[in-house]
Amino acid sequence: MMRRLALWWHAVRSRRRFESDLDAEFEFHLHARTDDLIAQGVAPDQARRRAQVELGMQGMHRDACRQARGLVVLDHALRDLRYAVRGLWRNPGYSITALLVLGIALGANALLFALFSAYGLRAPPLADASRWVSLEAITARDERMTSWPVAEADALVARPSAGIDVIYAMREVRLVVEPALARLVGGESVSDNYFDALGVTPALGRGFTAQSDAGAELVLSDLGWQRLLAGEPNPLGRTLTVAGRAFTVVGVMPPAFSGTTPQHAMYWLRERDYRAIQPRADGDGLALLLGGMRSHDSSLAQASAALSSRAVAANSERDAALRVARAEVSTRRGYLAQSDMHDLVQACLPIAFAFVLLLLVAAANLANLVLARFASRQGELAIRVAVGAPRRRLISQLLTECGLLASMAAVLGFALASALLLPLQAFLFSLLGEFGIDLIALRIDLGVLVYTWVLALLATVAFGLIPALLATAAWRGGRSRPDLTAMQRASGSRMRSLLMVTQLAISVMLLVIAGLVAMNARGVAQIRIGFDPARTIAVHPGQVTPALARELAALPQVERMALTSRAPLMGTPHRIDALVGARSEPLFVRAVDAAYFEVFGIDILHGRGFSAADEAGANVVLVSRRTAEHLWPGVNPIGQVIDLPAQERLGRLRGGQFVVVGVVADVVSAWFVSGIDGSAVYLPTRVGDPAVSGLMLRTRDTSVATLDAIARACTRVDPQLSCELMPMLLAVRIQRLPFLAASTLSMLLGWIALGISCIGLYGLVSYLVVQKRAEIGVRLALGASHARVIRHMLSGAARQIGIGVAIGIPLAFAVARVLAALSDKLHTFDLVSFVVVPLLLALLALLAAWLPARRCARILPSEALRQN
Amino acid sequence: MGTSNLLPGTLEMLLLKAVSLGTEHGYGLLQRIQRSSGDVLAVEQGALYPALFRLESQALVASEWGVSDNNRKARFYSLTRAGRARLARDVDQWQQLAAAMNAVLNATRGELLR
Repeated sequence: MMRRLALWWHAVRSRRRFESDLDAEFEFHLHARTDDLIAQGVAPDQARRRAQVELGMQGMHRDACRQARGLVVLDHALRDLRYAVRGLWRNPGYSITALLVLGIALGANALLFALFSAYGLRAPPLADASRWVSLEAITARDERMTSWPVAEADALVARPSAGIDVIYAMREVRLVVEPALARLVGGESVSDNYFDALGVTPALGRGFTAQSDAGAELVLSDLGWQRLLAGEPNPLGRTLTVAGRAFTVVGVMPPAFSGTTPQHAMYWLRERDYRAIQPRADGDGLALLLGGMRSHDSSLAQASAALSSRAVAANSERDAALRVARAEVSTRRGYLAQSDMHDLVQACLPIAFAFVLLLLVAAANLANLVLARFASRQGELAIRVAVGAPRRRLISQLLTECGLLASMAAVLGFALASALLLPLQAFLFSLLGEFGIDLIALRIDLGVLVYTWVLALLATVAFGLIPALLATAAWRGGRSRPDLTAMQRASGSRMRSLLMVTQLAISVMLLVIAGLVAMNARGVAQIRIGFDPARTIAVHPGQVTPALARELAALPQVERMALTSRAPLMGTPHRIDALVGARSEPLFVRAVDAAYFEVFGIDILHGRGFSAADEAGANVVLVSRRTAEHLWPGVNPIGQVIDLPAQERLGRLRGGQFVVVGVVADVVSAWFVSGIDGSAVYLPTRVGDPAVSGLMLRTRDTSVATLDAIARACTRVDPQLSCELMPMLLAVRIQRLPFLAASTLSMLLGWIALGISCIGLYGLVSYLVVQKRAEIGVRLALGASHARVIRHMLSGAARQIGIGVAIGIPLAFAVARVLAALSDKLHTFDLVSFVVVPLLLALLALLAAWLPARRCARILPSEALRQN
Repeated sequence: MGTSNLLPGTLEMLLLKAVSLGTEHGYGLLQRIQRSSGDVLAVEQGALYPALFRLESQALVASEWGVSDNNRKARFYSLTRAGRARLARDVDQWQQLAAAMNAVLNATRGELLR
């Protein structure tokens, strides 16, 4: 085998030499035979001729020699390729249509893959990424926990469990880095061995060492260096104030290393320094992510078993809800840990499905186009068979043309994806950027190129093979005379109709679903949230002290200040099972002060609001209108009683009977998609109550200067305080973002699918008009009017469009039912989506068919017949 | 003296045998086969070279350019170790086949009834 390959390669590489050797060998044979014949007495001029006759058909023998060397396959492939290039060049309309259709679909798929690969597949530049593992715990209820309690994490870092060489700990932190106070800066708090464990070396300076006497140290990322120190030439030794404490910059990481999570870290600080500036961060809860490097001589199963026994042994220190059943060591492949990867895949699946459908539309479209083209080449194929080409040569030649198209489309798709990646990223991450989170940049890499190419080749098989088999079916089983019925079938339109109907049906489905998603997004955008988010800022300092409240209230920018146990639109309020009469009712409870309703402009509909006396601890509550209607239908709610059990949460709420003193307007305070709060009960609170975790400020504006002033006030009160500032308008936008993104994406996909279908239909009808020129000429010559011929051309297209729409609508309905099962809050019926969108699509498709069909009118019967 | 066509599949065996008698060019191999068969076996001249190329691809023969007796550039073929082994096997099989054929052709009615 090796020898054969070596000979083949030699012949391919020095092809000219191979041919001249072949010539020389045959020439020698002729000479030797001629000499022999002359020696036998044949006249010299006759001897040469006889030698040639005896040698036989030299061309055939030479071909047989080439075949013995394996050169014929290559010759055929090259010939097919040249032929394909010529064929595509001569039919620019067909080529451009096919390129656009496939290129756009491939580009969209490449973009999605780039997004997925950036977070799911690409690993940070580690010294030995193959041994990189993450450590996760799993509860008895099979819930995965990626974080670990501080004490357990410390023990594992100090003494790794068996099978793991080194374990590091890290957590993502967001801290105030002066001078930019208003916006928290994201970084990673890591164990001393983090950089050494990962095997990454700083571009400047050094990483962390285990010496405990060193002062607070900071390592910057390359981006952090640019942002926090404005790229100053000598960053080492510079001091940065983080959360009120001075840190010395000891190193700068290379640009390629941005941390081990999808968030681009601006800096790294040591976990012990972090604990010194944030003493409250050391709770019993889950805080640290653990990762490490697996031992060379140990399997994942062994490492998992060892870690499990360590984790289970520590269960006694854990809260009941956090106890673990086992632990797992799994290989980390990218920036996302195993369980996050799982979530990403889940989230991407419906999107990926839509993208694959898009590719399917493109493939069906192309198959149609290719079918029309191949069918028109029956004559040419028949000639080739007649001169000795077997059927598989015909198929390989037709497929070569498709493969060439697909390769060019892959290049186009790749170029499109490269050009659109940055705008897409900017769109998707714009809000996160405002929130102070930088994600690692997306990149188009070799993987994306390979993915695009593989998709293109798969599409080639999908759109090329069936038409090629159909077009050559007439010569099945090595016939040299075509099977006429098969030939008829190949040029017939049944397969073409089927493909056209398929892609139209999918397009209808995609567009209807896109319409539904857009309608839901519009619903979310227009939802009346019941309060005024403008000029309000939520401040979450962790704990609200009287000093902080005083300082913030005194700011000139702050008009009014309120307290709350949880800011609206930032998570669900506490749920408490209350007794109302004899019924147990789950109620959502929020502790607020009297000013809360004023800050948000929530009207008091009946009764009164809270008074200063209530805030001191009276057993009174306010309820929302919907709550009142639900609990006491048709009865005056004022004076009714709710029995609340004692609570550890909500500032150690004393249980007891609470009297309703007022009814307030309904609001949306949890999630946009859930709509108006099902129940809302407000308890009075005041500064100093442990239930209070946030401050709501109504300010003159929400400019950066105002945010900065608030952050400075926080730091003045306590330099270690990291006040998370969230303008409520931003919270509203963050809640809208997924809907906005989903509707934009689905509309985009829907329109691309429609565009592809229309381009395909246009291309197909134009091609048919050219192909059927003679037939049209005969019809016209026999007295048919132009209008009638156009109607005839259109009737086929119209029937396909009708059937496609008829299939697409129920399909969309079925998919909508599936979507409805995902969330009961989604509306899955919309007249516009189900009626207007398909109608529009049908009209557009008809237009795409009508435009080229009009060209029939320009055909002169005499000319068309003469050409034939 | 009439000539007869070769049985299918035997050309390669004959070529291996002819090469085994000593390094030779294609035309010389043809003559060896014809002479040693007493001019009975006629090898189609053009088919000789594809067969030699196939043998070379299978590493049963090796080739080298050299100069012939009358001072012309020619490609000379020689047997490889693998070629020698294949020849021995093929000859063995052929002789078994020939013996069996002879046995059938020489069979008498008496032998069959016995």
